[in-house]
Amino acid sequence: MSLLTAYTRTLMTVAVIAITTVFALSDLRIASWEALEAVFAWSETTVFGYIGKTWGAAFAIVEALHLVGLAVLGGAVIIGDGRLLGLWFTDYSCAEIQRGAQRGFFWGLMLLLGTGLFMACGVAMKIYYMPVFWYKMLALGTGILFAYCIRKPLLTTQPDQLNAWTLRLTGTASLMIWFTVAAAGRWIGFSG
Amino acid sequence: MTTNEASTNTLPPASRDLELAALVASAAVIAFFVVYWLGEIAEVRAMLKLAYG
Amino acid sequence: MLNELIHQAALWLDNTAASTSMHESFYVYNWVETTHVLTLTLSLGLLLVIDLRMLGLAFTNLPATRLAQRLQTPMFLGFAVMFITGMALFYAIPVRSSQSLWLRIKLLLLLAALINALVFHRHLRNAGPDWNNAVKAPLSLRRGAWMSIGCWVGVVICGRLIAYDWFDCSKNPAPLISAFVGCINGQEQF
Repeated sequence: MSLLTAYTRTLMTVAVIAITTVFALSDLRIASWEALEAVFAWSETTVFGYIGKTWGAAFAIVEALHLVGLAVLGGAVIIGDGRLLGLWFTDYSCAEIQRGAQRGFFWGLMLLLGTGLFMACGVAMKIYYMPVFWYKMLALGTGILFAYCIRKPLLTTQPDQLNAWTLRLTGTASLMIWFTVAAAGRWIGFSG
Repeated sequence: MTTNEASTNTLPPASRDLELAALVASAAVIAFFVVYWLGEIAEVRAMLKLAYG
Repeated sequence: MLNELIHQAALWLDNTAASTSMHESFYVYNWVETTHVLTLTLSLGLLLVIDLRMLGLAFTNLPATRLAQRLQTPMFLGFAVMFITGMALFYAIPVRSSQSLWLRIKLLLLLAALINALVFHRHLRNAGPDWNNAVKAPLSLRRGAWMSIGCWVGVVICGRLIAYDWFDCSKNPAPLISAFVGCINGQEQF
């Protein structure tokens, strides 16, 4: 079997990391950012943008629901990654814990994305100029890709045969990503 | 299962690919976020120094 | 009378040097608030996992009581951090916070959540072990789980709304609200 077919996922992972790094360090990042200005300006004119800017109470309640989404997702992540780190539920396999947490993770993420989109429309031009918002988006994109392309397939195949250090590293990386998403999100609120 | 100490050599090829991909992705994520957070901490320390000496 | 006492205590706290330093410090205040919010994932996150398990919506492959027992310690640790940081946030802005409509509703909801948790635990003890591996918990526990979710979503909403000043005493709210939040001298002080 050729190296390409035997290590497709690994090679794709390396490619995504390489492309992201080149993108971040090149002028393409600035060009994309400038091109997105029109999209952000337009999003403020949408129904979401109008409601977010006009009705403070609606915005505040959606903000609170965003936090509830964070709690649901956070609970699922803490239990799952705690198991990967071998901190608890060690009498259950990583796959069983992953299976149990999956639905909470998915719906928590959906709530976060839905409420986040609404909030972003309300303050689009403000966050457009905030570096911390873009770091959050980078962390969020990484988190979704990591959860569904790396962590989930890893744990749904044969996790009981995997090296313990692979699981620990995966758990640490996952916790770091979601911590960054949450902390950067909170910092957006302080940067206005 | 209580531990995951098995050697990667016994893994089927698909799992070996998954494990290697997880290792590469995790290492990259950890390296990036350690650098990012150290940068943030250094920035805050510089600001505090500027404000309070 | 009670509002007068609360107001006096808040004024006293407000006049301490640490309170002033805290609310004037960008980093300290924001770090405490960030810790308060991020600990939601540990406290409320794990509590919601237990509630969702009772409703048959998460971790249905694990026995319900075992899941609840295992999550209890880290969950209480999370609530302890939330309580300490919450008190610190109150201490930083005592007068305004003590007259906040949302903080008062939040405290009432916290009390309701506490009573619900006590009732829930009594039902959990009385329910016996037979249902433990079932997808859904018995009706009394499911009702408790819904109550818990309702109370805590309310707590989070009120917690978020504390930051907004729509009903602050300085805005001269309606007499009923003014009486409920104990407006005395307006909001000259933080």
